[in-house]
Amino acid sequence: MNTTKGISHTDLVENHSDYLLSFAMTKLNDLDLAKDLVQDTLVSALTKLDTFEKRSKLRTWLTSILNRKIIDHWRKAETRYTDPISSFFDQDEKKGHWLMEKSASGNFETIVDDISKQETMTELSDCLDTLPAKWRGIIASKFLEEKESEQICNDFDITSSNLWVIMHRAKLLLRDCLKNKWI
Amino acid sequence: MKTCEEVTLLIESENYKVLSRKDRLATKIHLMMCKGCKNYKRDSKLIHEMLRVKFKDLSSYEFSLEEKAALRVKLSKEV
Repeated sequence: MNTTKGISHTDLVENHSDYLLSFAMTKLNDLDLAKDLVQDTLVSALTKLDTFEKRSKLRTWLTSILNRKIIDHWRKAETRYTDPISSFFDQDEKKGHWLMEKSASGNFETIVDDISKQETMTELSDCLDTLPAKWRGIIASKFLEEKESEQICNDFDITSSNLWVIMHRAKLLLRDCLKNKWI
Repeated sequence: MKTCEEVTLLIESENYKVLSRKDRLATKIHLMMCKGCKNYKRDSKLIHEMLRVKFKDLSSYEFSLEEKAALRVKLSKEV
């Protein structure tokens, strides 16, 4: 019962919901939000099963619906933010030069002896959560899905120079956040 | 003479495009003289690599059995 094209709602829940949740969590790191979006995804999938073409894999199709919902969420997310640049570079006297305490002494590399260590990854996750949601989204699109810059710019409605500026700002903040954890 | 703010942005944009000769040269000269930016370049590379590792695999999450039951009910109401 309740099957269209041989796909039942039980099948969707039993075989795909955990994967979709893991996908959403890797991108969002917000469990309640991720669960909501997965539920929305399964509902939309059921209502438009007739547009699903057997040629593509069901999981791929579901993931693309979920991805659309995640991007919509990020696009709606507050985009106003305080540009962190003034906390890193002198905006007065020696315009554009490192502020003393941010110019990074102390060697990063010797601290991170193994970057894939669980601990390091947890610290990185914590720091990622301090970034504006949209920036985190851009980083996830770039590194998780290895999307081309052009596609990321389209999804997030930004120009390519916006993208570099955002990545630059994000890295300054991440570096500062990690330093504070380590030193 | 480019500022540190400009040079660090150029270092980042190098991940996405080929810099003009002029920018490449300016960055090179700046890096020879500026320890802060040299450190930044090294750290930025490391952070790039950390992000790549971090997003290489999906973190694993599961709905609880109760949540799955609730989902099934929700979905069956939709059809």
